[in-house]
Amino acid sequence: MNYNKIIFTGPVGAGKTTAISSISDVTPVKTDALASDMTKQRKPSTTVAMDYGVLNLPGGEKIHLYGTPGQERFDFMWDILTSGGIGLVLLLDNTRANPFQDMKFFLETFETFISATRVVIGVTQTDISPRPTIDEYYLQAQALGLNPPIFEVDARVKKDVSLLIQSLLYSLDPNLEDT
Amino acid sequence: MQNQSKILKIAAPALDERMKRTLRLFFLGPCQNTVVFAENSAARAALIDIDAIGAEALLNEQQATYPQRIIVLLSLTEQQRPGTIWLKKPVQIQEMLRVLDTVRRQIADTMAIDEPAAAAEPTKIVLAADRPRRRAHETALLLDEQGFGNFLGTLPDVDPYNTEQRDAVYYDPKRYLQGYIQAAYKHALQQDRILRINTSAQPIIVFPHSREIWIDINDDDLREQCVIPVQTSRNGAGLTVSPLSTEEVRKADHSLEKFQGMEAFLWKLALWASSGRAPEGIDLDQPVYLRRWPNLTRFVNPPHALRIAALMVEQPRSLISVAERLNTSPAYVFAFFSAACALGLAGQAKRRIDHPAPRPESPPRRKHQGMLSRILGYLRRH
Repeated sequence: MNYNKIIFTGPVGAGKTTAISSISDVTPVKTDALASDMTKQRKPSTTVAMDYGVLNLPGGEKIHLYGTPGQERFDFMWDILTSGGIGLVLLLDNTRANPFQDMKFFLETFETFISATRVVIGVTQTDISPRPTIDEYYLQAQALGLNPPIFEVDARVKKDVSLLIQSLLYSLDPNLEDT
Repeated sequence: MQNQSKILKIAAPALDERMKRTLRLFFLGPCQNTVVFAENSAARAALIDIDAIGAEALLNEQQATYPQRIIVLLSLTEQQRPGTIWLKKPVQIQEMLRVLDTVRRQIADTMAIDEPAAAAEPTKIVLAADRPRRRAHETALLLDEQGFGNFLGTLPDVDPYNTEQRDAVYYDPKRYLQGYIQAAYKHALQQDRILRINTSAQPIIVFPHSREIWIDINDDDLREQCVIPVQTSRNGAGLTVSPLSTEEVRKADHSLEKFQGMEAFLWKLALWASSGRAPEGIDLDQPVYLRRWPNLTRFVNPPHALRIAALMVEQPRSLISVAERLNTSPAYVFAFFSAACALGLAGQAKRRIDHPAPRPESPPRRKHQGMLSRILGYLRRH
C-alpha cells in the first residue's frame, strides 16, 4: 500500500480547501469522486467533491493532499480516503457554534486512523473569535485521551500550514531529520 | 435583560453568511449586544455590500420599500449617495463603531429614540470588553542556530556536563522582566482588570479580556530590558504595577501593531531572559514534563522547537537526555523549556499527574522514516 497521503478534515468552512491551496505545489482541484458505497441506498451516480493538492518532492515522489468532503453525510468516503494515509490534519473553525462538538465528532470518527498514525489540530478564525482558547481545546482533547499538537492557524498562510504538517511528522517520530 | 427599544436593529439583505457571522461576533463584543441583525421589516438600518453583484438593484429596492431606513454601504471605493453612509472595506473596528454612532444619531433625529448609555462611548466598550483581535497574524518565527544567536544577542558558552559550570546554567526568572510580566498577567486575569507595568522605558499594558498586551517599543530595545535583571530599589521593590483608568485607556494609542498576544509576548521574554539557560530549581538530570505542545505557530521558536516539543510531550525526560537524544545543543532545550515554564506548560516531573495524557500505541515509525524525512526536508525548504 502506498504511504503517501495527508488527509485534511474538519467541518464545512474550517479552511480545508484554503489550507491545501496554501501548501500545494499545483493549483488544487475539486475532484468529483463517485460515491460507490455498496452498503447504503445511494444512487451509483452520486458524486462527491473533494479537494486535492500535491507536494512534489525531489526525485519525483508525490505526496497527495486530500480534503475530506465536509458534510457528514459523506462520511462513508472518509474510510476510503484514509487508506494509505500518513496522518490527519483536523481543522476547526473557532467561530462555529460548538467547535468542541466538531472536534469530538472528527476525533471519534477517525479514531482508528488516528491510533494507527497521528493527528494534528489547526484552529482557524481565532483572530475573529479568540474563544475558545487553545488551552480549552487541549482540555477537551485530553478528556478524549489525546494530546496532539493544537495550533492557531491561518489557513491562507503557507507557513502555518507547513508548521502544522511538520508537527504531524514529528509527532510520528521526534527523531526525524530532514533530508 | 437588554431593553429591546434601545437595541439598534440592522437588516443585512444579501450579505453572505461568513460576513454576517463575523459581524454578529462584533455586535456581541465591542457593541455589547446593542446592535443585532433583524428581519427586513423590523430593521431601522441596513448594511449593503454595494460591490456585490446585484447590489445596485438591491439598494434601489431598499430605498423604495423603506424610505426612512438608513443604508450603510460597504465598498472599497468612496460612495457619496443621498440617504447612505459609506463604510470602507476592509472594515476597521473604529470605523464601524463610528458609523453605527452616526446611524443612531440619524435615527434619533428622525424617530426620537433613547440612545443606550453604552453606545454613547463605544471606545470604552471596545477597550473594556473583549476586543476582537484584528492584529495582523504574527506567524511563527522559526530560527536556525545563527538566527537564534542573533535573536538572543548572546548565548552563554556554558557546558552543563561540566559540574563546575552547572551554576552558570541557571537563571532566576523572578529577577527579570519575565517574572514581573508573569506576576502581572496572573494579577490582571484574577482581578479582571487592565493593568499597567511601569518599566524604566515604556509602560506595558495588560488587557486580560482579549489576552493581549500593548507596548510601544521595538524588539531590539525590549530585548535590552529583558536580558538583565531588573534594578530594584533599596527596599527591594522592582517594577510597579498599577490599574489603568478608563480615561487613560481611551487616550492611549490603539494602533494595532502595538498589540501582541499575551502568550507570545511572555514566551519571547522568557527566551531572552533565559538566554539558553534553565530556570533555577530544575534538576537537569531528573525528568521534566511538557503538559502540551505550545502554540508554536504564533511564537518565536528556538532551533529544533518542534522536535523538542514532540519528544518532551511523549513522556517526562530529563533536559540533558532530550538534548542527547536529539543530538542538539542543551542551550536550545533549556531555552525552549524556560519559555514553556513561563507559560505554565512545563516543570519538574514530581507527580503522576505531571505525566501527559495516555497515548495510543506508537505506530511503526521506522518503517516510513525515509519518506517522512523527505517530506520534512521539503517543507523546511519551501
